[in-house]
Amino acid sequence: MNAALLTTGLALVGLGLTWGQVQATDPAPEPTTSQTSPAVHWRTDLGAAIEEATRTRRPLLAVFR
Amino acid sequence: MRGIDLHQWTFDWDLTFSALAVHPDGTVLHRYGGRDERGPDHWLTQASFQRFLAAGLSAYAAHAPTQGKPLAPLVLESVPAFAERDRGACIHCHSVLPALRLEAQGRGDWSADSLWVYPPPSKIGLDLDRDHQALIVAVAPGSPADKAGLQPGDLLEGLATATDLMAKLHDLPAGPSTLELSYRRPGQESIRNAKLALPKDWKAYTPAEFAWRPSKWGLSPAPGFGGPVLDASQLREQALPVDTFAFRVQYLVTWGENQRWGQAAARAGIRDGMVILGTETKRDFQSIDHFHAWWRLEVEPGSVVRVAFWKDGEVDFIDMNVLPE
Repeated sequence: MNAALLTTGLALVGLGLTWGQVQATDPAPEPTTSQTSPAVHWRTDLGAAIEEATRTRRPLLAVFR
Repeated sequence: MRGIDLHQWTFDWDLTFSALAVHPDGTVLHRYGGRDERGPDHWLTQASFQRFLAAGLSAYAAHAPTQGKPLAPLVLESVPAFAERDRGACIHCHSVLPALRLEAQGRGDWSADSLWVYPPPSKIGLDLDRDHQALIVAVAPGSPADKAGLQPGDLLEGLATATDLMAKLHDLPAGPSTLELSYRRPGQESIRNAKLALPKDWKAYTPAEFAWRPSKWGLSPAPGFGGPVLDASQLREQALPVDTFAFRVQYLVTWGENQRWGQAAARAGIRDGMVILGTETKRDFQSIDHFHAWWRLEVEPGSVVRVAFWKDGEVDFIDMNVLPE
């Protein structure tokens, strides 16, 4: 799956989701400001994303690739 | 997958991509990213991903938080069958199933039914739209879905993706089972319920269905050899018909923990460069992965396989004594 699709997904989650992403291969580049919105909190640490989702009571989108 | 709790983050670990929409209480609301033998991208489309995200938010809004008692965390690096091979490198998702299988085999509580993880919708006779994955587009005649009255055009309720359905099928036993699916029929308001009677061995994958799974490599018996499939020009050079399955032996596994398989193949007479067509009775392989899956799922330990190969314009055979377990 390519990065472009993930970018689209990121744009769509500007509705209050917390991201957590785990990568089994090389780390993806950090998203640019154009790929995020104030409502999206990008994390590459699943543990930190879980902690934030639990604290804020917001849903978590976990992506494994 | 290092440090990831396998009891919490359960998905088809053979996949190349998987996404979970999760409530803060740990409930998985919807899943995305499954695959089947049609290719890794078959269920991955922009429209279906948008639907998955929207369904995740809707399910989050409707979910009544629960405080169930979670299972004790399970991390792969704590599983002895993995730990003894762990070199501290990145743990790929597809390392999980082989390690759990080895562990269960060591305990003596593994059965072949454990292989049939996240069955595709085709196992119950359904195919779904790639973009709108709750929409049924085909029902196989005589299948459990057909007998339960499902039709193309029906919209499954409560499921947003093919992966949601595969997860539901994953949780069912491999033996005779009943699956209930709610759906809406076009033009009708009411929600209907279909009760699918799943027969014995409904979950079992055919070798062609199983071929894409990286977890097949750890299964035995194994042929102990492999190589690239001949393309059209190479088939012409060999004077083989253009639709022939044939591969050239490029390696025998005569090293490492699986060396016994390659050594058995070498003793039987398999050599680098040989053009293998299949066996005396089976030549209709769709890919080299299919050949490897077939050998691992269908060949009996201790049996004899007559390997067919191409030599000087004719089919010849090598009898391979398959090692007992």
